[in-house]
Amino acid sequence: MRLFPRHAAIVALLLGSTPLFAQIDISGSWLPYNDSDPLSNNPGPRVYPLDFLGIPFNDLGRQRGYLYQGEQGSMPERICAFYTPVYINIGPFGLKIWNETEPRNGTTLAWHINGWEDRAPTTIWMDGRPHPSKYAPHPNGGFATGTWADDVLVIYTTHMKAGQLRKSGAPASDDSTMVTRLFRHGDQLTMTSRIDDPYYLAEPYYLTRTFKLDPVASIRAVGPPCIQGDEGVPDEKVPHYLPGKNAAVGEFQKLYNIPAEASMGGPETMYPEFRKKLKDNYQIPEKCPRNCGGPGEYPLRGQ
Amino acid sequence: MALKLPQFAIAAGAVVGLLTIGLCGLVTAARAQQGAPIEDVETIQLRPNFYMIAGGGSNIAVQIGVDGVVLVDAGAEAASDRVIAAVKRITDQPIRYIIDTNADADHVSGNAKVAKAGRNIQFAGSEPLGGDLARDMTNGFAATVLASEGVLSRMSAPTGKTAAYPSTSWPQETFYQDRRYIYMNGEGVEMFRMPAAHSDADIAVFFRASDVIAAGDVLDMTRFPMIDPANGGSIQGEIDALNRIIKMTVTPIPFIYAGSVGTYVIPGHGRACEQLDVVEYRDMVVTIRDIVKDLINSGKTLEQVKAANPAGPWAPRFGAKTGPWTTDAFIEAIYKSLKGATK
Repeated sequence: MRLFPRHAAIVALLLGSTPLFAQIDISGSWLPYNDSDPLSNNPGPRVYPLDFLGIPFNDLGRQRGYLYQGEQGSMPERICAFYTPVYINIGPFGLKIWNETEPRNGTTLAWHINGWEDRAPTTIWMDGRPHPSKYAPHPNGGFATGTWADDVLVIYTTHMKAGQLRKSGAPASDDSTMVTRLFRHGDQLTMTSRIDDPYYLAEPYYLTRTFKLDPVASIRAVGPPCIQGDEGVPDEKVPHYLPGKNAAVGEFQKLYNIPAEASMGGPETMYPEFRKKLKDNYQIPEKCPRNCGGPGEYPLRGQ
Repeated sequence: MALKLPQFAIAAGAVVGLLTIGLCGLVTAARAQQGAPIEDVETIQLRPNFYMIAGGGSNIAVQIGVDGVVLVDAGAEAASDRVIAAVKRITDQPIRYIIDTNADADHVSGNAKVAKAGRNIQFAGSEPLGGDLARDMTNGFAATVLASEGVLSRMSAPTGKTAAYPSTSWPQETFYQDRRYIYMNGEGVEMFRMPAAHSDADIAVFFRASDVIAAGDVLDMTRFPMIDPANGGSIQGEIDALNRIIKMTVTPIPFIYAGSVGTYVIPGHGRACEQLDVVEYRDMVVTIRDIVKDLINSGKTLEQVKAANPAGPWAPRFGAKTGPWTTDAFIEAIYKSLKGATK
């Protein structure tokens, strides 16, 4: 077939639209590898209060973290509340991902990531729509848009609610933003997120996680319903510590012999140089009392 | 690793930046005048029949339907033309009611102009009945302004004294009871007094079928709650009001993952909220109150309490060092409120 200039122009236009054809299929059920950061990533209250290791907090983030009391999770209004979309990087559950297509040309309008019992569903809009106004509500799943950068899906999330970076009470403000990159390598899906918070982080906080394709598709598209039970915190009570009176100060540090300057976080604690700095002075505890084994060996705190 | 933001975000940032520079002078002047910035008004749709107009002083809730338009707050006078235009872009129905949530200028100074752009519910037909008598028995056929009695007291003045606003701005219907309601556009609209919170004149307005609450300045997503002890405000009243609003809201339990949002809460200023946002705000206010109380109990003076920076962790988000409502003023209001309570 002879190509006329007009056809050649169309072909050139199509070839130039590499993002359209560079898209890869990330749909399916993805099971998480929970080997890394198991204390904070696995289910239940296994994370220690005031465990701010590796979080690039500024002073205000740390101060606010010290006011947090774990009982807050049992407040009537918070029992069925979700974590913010940041939780996709640290929650214990897998992902179900599917796409919504434009019916005439088959392009992907949006990617959907399932919600679960403590994480709201996420819609990643691929149709170029702008992010909402500063006056718009912040839904549980935030507002996310995506673009392809070669084979990587880059997701930009704004309009998140205030919440936590980690279950230890590390705060995140409602002006936080997150850029997540999804890489697929065969049956592995790697997620890298950068979280920025203008109030509580001195530098961007990075989290990474890897998932593996689940051939039997065991991850459901929706989570279980939540029943709002009575967990012992009365209406209107706001559990919190006062400055300088957090009962858990030192507990986590003492258990693992972690220097305070490391456990309280800060930008310096993210980098390899900090580890080198501590190495000479660090004393491994003679006996690790708990949470020292592999996945599945994490007794509840206090047991 | 440097991550590249989507291009639209950068473009949006540039636009916002330019707008910010352009509006800077206007905003500064407005703040000095009325305590809240006047920006380009923006309309956010929350429900098929429900909107929020932002940027015209206070937020304005807009319920529309066959009976006409119900507004909660009128915004600042300087923004009235833009507010009226924004309502007209949504619907051609006339404004019937303006419900004021408090007596601050950024909520009520637009009353006269916005009400005049509407049409009184008494004369809902195309031809007003009663002629001059009817005009005289209403605010010149203007929409009715409804508020707590405290709002009228604040806006008017006894004979012989100068009122803060002309009588065309004053509420024509007032109430002092805990609750008042109207039924407009197929739903109950309940007004609840929030005594001694931001002031002694606050109300919250609950649209029962739309499932939207207009909270007034009891909830302010741009700053710490403005508590005005001189006008009857108190920290305990503020916390009580936030608790009451939380109890009026619902979340989509048990199908929490389904994506529905539950009750919307429109704050006096800033972005629209849901229950959890109000809970975060209430928790912040209670925590700061408790810290101040602890400092008072340990014998600290007001200056020592301020120096201890009890609102510190939230100050970059909600605080201010200058302007009509500083972090220090907030702490002072809590201090005085707590000290007054112990007398």
